[in-house]
Amino acid sequence: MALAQGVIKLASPTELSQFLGAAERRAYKQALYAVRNEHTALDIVQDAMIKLAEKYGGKPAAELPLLFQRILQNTIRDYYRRQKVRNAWMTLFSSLAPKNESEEYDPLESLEDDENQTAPAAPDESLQQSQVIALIEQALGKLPARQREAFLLRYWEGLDTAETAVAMGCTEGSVKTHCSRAAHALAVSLKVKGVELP
Amino acid sequence: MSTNINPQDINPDRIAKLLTRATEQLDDDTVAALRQARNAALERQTINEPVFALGTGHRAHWLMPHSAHQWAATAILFVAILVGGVSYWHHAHENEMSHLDVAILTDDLPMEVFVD
Amino acid sequence: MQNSGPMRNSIIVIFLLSGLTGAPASATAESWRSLAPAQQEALAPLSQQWDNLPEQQQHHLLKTAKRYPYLTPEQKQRFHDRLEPWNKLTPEQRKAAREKYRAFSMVPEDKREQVRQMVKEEQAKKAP
Repeated sequence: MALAQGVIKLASPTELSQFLGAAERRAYKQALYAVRNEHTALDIVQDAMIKLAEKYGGKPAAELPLLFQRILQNTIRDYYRRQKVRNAWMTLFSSLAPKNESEEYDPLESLEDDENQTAPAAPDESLQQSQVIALIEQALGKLPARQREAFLLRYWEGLDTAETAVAMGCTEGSVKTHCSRAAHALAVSLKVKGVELP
Repeated sequence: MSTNINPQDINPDRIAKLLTRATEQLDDDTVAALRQARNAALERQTINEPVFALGTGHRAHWLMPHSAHQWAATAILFVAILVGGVSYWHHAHENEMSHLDVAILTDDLPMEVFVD
Repeated sequence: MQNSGPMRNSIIVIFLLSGLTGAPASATAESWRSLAPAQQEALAPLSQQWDNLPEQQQHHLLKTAKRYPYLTPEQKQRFHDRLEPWNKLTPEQRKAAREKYRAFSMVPEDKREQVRQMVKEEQAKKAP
């Protein structure tokens, strides 16, 4: 009656560890571009990693990348939506609040924290490249969520259209549309800022 | 594969490379936090998939419908549960709605707080 | 006629089934005159518009009217005061208001209290 497990190659702890170790930085950045808060981004990554380990810890190593991306995108979206609800709520509260006292509301701190966006310049790196990176990241942050997702999954995570569609929970046609719009928006944005990609 | 992007507009690969560069520049605190997250996940890694006993087990034999009568009864029961569930949900939903309506209409707070 | 066990059970279930699906949301419009006195008392501010309201809205209003008898005098007053403006909103606005209220009721008690306090103070300022 038992399921034959011997034939399937399951992800060992080492393989999961290696996968997560390789994926975690990009995952963190993806979350950061979406929610613009370092603390929240870390929470999201941890959340997604735990979900992957608990739910799919026994899956073959080759399946992990796509599974993780799907979980990650969903987790980002959940937090993002919650943040939007919070923002709307804060607008409600602040319209009622006496104008002189707005420090009581802690959640305001987590909103729009643009100072955290620029990456610290590494000492041996040309200032110019760091600036370019910062501008790109800024432009990414301004994209609509779906466009950013599609672009990053296709070109940064290297998923193909079909895989991206699975990770995003949409059709391949939508993926292509989101991607081309994202690319166009980024191109416009960067041109306006006078960025020439080296 | 074609992606409808005018090649002169933008070079996604170049962008991707720069983004990767950025991940190499993360500060130590963040890197440490990510490692912690990774460990937390590894602690909870479950390897064994739930075992589904599909049909070969003899123990569940008596629960399965055998005769046409029993199939009919099972089907009707199933539909009844489904419909009951849906109509229960519908009523519960409506009840919740009227609870909310009454609350909004009678709350301390003026209605304008909840209406744009 | 010989009823085998499972067959009889099926018949019982069929009765149960009709019981569950019975009395769905009454989609028939009701005229003001046909309402019970208790309902008319609760919905008094809408007596003029009632007959022109869509059935769905009438249905919702009647459900809220059920709770009217259990309200305090102060709440009854507010209920009456707000019925007309509430009714004038679009269905989308009402839906949005319900969601806001639901979200509000999930905020921790002390924050809710803060909001109530603030609003009271604002209203006190506006009042003569």
